[in-house]
Amino acid sequence: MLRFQKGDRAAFEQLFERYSTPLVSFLARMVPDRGRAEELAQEVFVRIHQARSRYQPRAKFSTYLFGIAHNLALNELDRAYRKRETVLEDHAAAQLDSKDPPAEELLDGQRTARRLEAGLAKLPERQRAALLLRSREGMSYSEIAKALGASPSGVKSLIHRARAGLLEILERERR
Amino acid sequence: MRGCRQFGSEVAAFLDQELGAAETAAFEAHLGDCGACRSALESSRELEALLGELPPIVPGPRFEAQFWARLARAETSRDWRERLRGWRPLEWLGAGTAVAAMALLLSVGHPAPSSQDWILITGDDFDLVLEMDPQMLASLDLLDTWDETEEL
Repeated sequence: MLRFQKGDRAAFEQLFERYSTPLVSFLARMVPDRGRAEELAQEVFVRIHQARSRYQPRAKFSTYLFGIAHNLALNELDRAYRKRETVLEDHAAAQLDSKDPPAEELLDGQRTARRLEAGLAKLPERQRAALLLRSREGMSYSEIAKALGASPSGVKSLIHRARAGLLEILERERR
Repeated sequence: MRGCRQFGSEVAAFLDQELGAAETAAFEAHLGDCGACRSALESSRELEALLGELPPIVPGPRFEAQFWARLARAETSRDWRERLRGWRPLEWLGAGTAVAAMALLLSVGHPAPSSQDWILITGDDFDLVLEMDPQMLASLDLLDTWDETEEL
């Protein structure tokens, strides 16, 4: 990012290349609409591009990137769906989209992945974001705290509750 | 992950290696005595492994092209915003009207200008031509203000 700030356009292209998939993965698990998730990911990169002159390396670039993504995701959820229940139900349903093969045709691993995606979608947004950043992006609690605008102890609680909640959802569905 | 009120909330942080040295030692000592925490830790480990195995969600084939197009639009829009920054048409319109009104008032009783002098005020996106006697204009002490507007 510092190279890009100094005018190296190729550095921005490398950032785009490096983070496109993790960003889309994160946002597609945060908002129910896949197409919208891609638009939000593009918006994150646009904002980073436009804020280049103001960028200050106070944290890792990924923390900065996912912080913007998280804010955009929450705004999107607030804007489009005022009622959390609706969001979560829609999101969970989207994860079990009927365009996918029927459950009985899936391999065990695929079935587990679908159940896991659906379970993730049922978690409250901040718990889900914290867990995704930890489990998928390998971010530390202090990095997650910066990205989500929370305290490290708050992140500890979010991740604890997210794992407990997800295990409970999976257990309930297994019965 | 139920069962242990004392250490239950530490399982996640222990698994993520986010506990301090003393807390880690205390939790490890506790694990030997607490089946609930051992079970919760094992379940959490399995869950982490499953989450790690989830496939990435890859952007669609048009994602990159759409992004560069979007960025180009945003940059164009930003250029316009920067060019218009500080341009306050209503204030300028008000100031222009005031100048014209004062010039009109002061011209009453003054002889008509001997020649058609004019002053051109230019901005990024407009030109304003005032036709009036420059001496009268100077007496209004407004040229400084116009200099400021020219900077915009």
